[in-house]
Amino acid sequence: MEELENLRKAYVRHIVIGMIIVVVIGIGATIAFNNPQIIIFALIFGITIVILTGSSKKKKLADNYKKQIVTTTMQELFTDVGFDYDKGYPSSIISETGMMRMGNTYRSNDWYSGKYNDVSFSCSDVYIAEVTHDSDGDTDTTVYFSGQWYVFTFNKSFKGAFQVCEKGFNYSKHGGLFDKSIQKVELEDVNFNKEFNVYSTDAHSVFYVLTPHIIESIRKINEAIPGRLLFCFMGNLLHIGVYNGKDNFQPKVFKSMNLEDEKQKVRKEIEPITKFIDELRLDNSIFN
Amino acid sequence: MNVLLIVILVLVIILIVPFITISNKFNRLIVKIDEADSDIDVALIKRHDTLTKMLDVVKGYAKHEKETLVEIINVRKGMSSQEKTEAIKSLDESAQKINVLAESYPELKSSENYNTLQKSIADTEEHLQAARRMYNANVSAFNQYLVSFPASVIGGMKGLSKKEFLEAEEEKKEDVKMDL
Repeated sequence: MEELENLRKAYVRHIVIGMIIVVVIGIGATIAFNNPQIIIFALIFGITIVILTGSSKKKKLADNYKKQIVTTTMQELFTDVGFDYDKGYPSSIISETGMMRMGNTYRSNDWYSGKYNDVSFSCSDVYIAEVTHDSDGDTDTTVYFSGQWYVFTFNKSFKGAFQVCEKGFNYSKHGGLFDKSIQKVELEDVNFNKEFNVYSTDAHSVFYVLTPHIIESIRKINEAIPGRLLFCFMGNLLHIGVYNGKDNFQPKVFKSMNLEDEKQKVRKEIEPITKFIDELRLDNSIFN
Repeated sequence: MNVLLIVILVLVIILIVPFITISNKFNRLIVKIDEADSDIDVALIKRHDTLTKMLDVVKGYAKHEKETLVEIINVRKGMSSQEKTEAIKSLDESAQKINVLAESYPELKSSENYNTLQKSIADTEEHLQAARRMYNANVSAFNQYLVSFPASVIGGMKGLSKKEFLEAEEEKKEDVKMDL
């Protein structure tokens, strides 16, 4: 923990000293050339240099944070923990679900896997966007998904595949596995139908998997977890996307670190895994 | 003359387009109900077959017992809602009787064949519940549409009437659980 705190302090020192130098040089240049516009140029240029020169320190801090805090916390909660923070899911994992448009920009990192109550899972941060440039050289970015993507083993096998998308998620795509025979399925729960859209190739499978208990659980999870939820039931896998615009496992730089607080923060970030498994009873076979 | 023709044409279009749209929606809803109904038939037949197999296994262990006289009702495709409800009830009772009977034979309860069949019965029960819920959800959508205006007028013209729900026993509304 002490090593981590030293790395954090070193990074903060770099930023603070760098900023002071940038401001001093900016003011000096403005006075010397008697041109107030210089300070704006100096600040933009200087801040960029400070951030770039500090990136290796920041990466070292983040890597150590993940090794010392995140990994330890995960090992306390899960078994068979595996992690590769530099890697993520290949885009095919998500595109094969046919859940959303894949855009032209895909990033994924902070991959980890494990078992909770004997249910295998994996998770990774995922960012999917469409970046376009117009003739004026302006860049327009439409973010299709930014958050965490989870994959769980599922305890029921069924025909086809189906998606449950929270309403308001506007980048659904019905292609890939979902051919033209896809249909929107209305369940008997009016409130669930108000919150989610369900698309499937086989309506019976939807009712088979989405039992009244699962429907209620998805609604509970939706209340408890911030962000838009996407579920894709496919084969013996359950994909869950939480679109919250967040990147997990990032240390707070300008606040001193406390082991218990940091572990608590990580626990909060990986809480969706236990919630999904517990609420959806993924650890239960229907045969006890 | 031409103006009158255009007015009549517009009026006809105004009347015909909604008629076709609403009529098509009714047809789609009816197809969905029929599909769900057929799903129930499939699930019922599968449940019947699995229970028959299970009874055969139990009989193998209790050849000389009178209590093995458990009857399993025959099911067929195209039963009415009332008949289906009764068949479901009767099959549930048979399953319970078979379970009670199996209680007397610990070797039977621990046999792999019996356990596989138990799992299969639980699964067919889940499929049956899914089919029943899907049927009722489709019937509900149909009935709601039938009473809404202007669909109620076109529904009346087509001679459509409300469909019956397939009632579920209270305890069956819970998710299936079987103790093995």
